[in-house]
Amino acid sequence: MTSTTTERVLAFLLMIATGVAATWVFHWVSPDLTGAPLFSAVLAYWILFFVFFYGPFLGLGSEGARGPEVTLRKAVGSAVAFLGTAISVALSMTLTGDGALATNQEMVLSLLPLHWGFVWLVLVQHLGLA
Amino acid sequence: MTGRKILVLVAVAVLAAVSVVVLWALGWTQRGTLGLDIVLWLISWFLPIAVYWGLPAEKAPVGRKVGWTVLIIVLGLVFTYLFRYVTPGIVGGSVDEYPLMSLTFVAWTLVFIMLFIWLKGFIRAL
Repeated sequence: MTSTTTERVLAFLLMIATGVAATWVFHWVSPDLTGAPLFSAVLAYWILFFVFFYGPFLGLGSEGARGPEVTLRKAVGSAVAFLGTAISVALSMTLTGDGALATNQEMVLSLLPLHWGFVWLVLVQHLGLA
Repeated sequence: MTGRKILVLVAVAVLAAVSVVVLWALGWTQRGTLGLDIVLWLISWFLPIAVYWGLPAEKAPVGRKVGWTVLIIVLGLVFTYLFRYVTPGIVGGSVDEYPLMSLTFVAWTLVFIMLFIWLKGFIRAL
């Protein structure tokens, strides 16, 4: 296998593994967050998020430009996106208040970070930071 | 070009509406998640048509892309039922009442659409 093919296979495995890991973290926080009716959707949305993050966003496996400058730009872009996501999630949970969280607890806590993650990754990419 | 762009947006809206109506008729969605369903189906048709198919470009290989899109939808369906079957064995509980069937289906469909968008970067046949 060539190094490019190896990178593509590893990227694919990483997409699945981190999607499963994120789902497991929410299951570990509270099994209610990934209960039977929600489990498949939560797992799929997290795999979707990491396919987008490693693939179209970071460009793993692609034949695009490489080098220290690109790597640094991607790292900074990712850091900005994840910091923005953390702040947005914290603000969302504060602003919705306890009542709203109690009503939609499962959906909010397990799917809120990845939705904000998408928003920030697309924004960062659009601004040319990654 | 503007006319073709409007046509693409209309096609996305029509396909999303048809998807939601069909899934509603099948009992796969409910009033409480209908808004989320509509948004996700709009995204789920916009991504393949505008990003994966590349419309409204003049020479987009629509025929070939339609074939792969059908496969994506079938894979979404297969994974939806597969996880409905294996979920109780993984996290316990029951999926006899499954109000999120539509959201689960659209989630798996989006996974394969995004995967194909990534793969077409280096697999020309896609």
